[in-house]
Amino acid sequence: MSPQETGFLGIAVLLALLALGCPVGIAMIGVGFAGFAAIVGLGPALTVLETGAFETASNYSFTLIPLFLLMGSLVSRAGLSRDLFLAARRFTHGWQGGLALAGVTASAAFSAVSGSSLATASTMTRVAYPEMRAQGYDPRLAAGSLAAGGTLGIMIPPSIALLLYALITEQSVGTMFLAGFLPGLLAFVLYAVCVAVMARVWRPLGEHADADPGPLGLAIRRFLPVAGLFGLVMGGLYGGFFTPTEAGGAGAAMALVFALARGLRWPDLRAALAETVRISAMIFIILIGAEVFGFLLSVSQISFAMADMIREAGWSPMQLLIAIVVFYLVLGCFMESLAMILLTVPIFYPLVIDAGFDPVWFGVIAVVTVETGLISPPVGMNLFVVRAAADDLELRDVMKGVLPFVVTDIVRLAILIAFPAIALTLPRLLGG
Amino acid sequence: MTRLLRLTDVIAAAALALLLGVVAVNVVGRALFDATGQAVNLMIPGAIELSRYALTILVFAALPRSAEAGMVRVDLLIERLPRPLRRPLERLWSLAIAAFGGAAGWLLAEKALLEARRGDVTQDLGIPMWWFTGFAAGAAAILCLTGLWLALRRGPEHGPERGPG
Repeated sequence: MSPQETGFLGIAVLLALLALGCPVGIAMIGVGFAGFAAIVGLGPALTVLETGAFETASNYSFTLIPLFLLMGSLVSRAGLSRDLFLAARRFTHGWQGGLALAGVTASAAFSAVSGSSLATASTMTRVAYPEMRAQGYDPRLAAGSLAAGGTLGIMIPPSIALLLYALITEQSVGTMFLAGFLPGLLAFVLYAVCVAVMARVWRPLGEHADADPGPLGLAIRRFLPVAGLFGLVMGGLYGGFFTPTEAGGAGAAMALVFALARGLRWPDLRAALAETVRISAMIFIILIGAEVFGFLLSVSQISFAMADMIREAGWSPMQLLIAIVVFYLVLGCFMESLAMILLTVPIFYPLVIDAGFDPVWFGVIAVVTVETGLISPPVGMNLFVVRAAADDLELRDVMKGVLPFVVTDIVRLAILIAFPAIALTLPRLLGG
Repeated sequence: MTRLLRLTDVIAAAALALLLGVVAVNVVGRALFDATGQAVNLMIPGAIELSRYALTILVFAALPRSAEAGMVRVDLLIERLPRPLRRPLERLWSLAIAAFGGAAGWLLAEKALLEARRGDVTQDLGIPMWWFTGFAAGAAAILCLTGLWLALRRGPEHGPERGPG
């Protein structure tokens, strides 16, 4: 069997294992290890297993993950996520699907301070989902909007995905964050339209049972703490005071102070720590799996073979870009998003630059596509996080609910490809 | 086993607190350092290294609990399977977790022994490397035990990880 055949067989076996309920990370580790051993040998495969596990868990860049998760968890326990949701409800009250729109709005604001799609999806689900269900929302609309709303975190700064892209392509982190801002805003607007359409199909039964959404001034005050945290994290980053990890640490420390000031008690703090380490482990076992499986993809040369096909076909630049996007969308269905960026960008980046595309703009396109992967069935991470954060939710409902948002993401991708200025205007105006 | 999992929970939480403390104190320390014209230096030496290895301890210590919680899985199909089929599959995945834990524990233990023999130390602080590799090996061994415990125990099968809450 050729390495490429082994690689394709590995992908098929991985999908079969996932369908049979094997833990995602363990399936990726097992298939990656076995496939790599079949191609290269048992000795190198054992080395990949050992280094993949240890190096992933001791990668300084990844220290961002638990810190931002902790910040999100503390912010949530401080009642901030609830405040955001209540404030957003004030502005969307009276609209069809207003609660779902409030969930998406609060997700956009929360993701700005948590920096994590997963933390946003899990926290906002715990806050907003029970209320949506209590007001007669179809679980598909409720879960779909919250899973999709969580993905806003990957584009709205600070974004780990944009940060990784900047690091591996030697772009300025500040420029990449600026480039992500307007596409993040566009995502929010399109999601709002999507929610409005979905609410007409899956009409909430008891919405607006609570007549009084509260005064406007209170709603604005509820947004202020999040604005302060966002200002600390982003101001620290753009002011040159913090590295991204330090921004996470400073944000988590500030969130802790804020939560203590709002009466956080020891059991809540202990729960926040426990939740953070548990979700961190949940993410890291998949990161380890993606690392090991990535070795199989690399050594089987599937990625290279596809890149060669694109190069040798003599396509136009736009054909090349569409092919890459389609490749990302397919790969995004079964590969961890950050690992996907780390694996594929070094391969595609030279092709894209040769074709005359702007590297900053391509970074945004790549991350938007990866973002779609976060809600792409069957293994989009946000689907599991949302499902895990609500007791009465079936995964199939989450999957059905996010499909309209996946379509919305593809529409946004088309808009961003057609109008590169959306991503490039802020970096050109403000310099990054 | 439950006590062992509680112990790894505490270690993982302590590592997270250490990570937060190191990063936050260093930020404040650097601000003071700059503000006082380099007169007051409260920065933590080797902060990046400490952060890295705090993460290592956090991740490996948290893996057994993640396994116990079911980890992230696609449960679309398996929940529709009849119980006589589902339970053996659950046991098989628990054994797969045990296999990964066992293999990682064995490989990391070998690495730790090698590092101890060579006297490898970390770059900035000179801490013996085998402390961290050895801890990771021990935690991986506990992950292996957790997988075996899950595969062998009686009672209802565990579902996929429920995440925060």
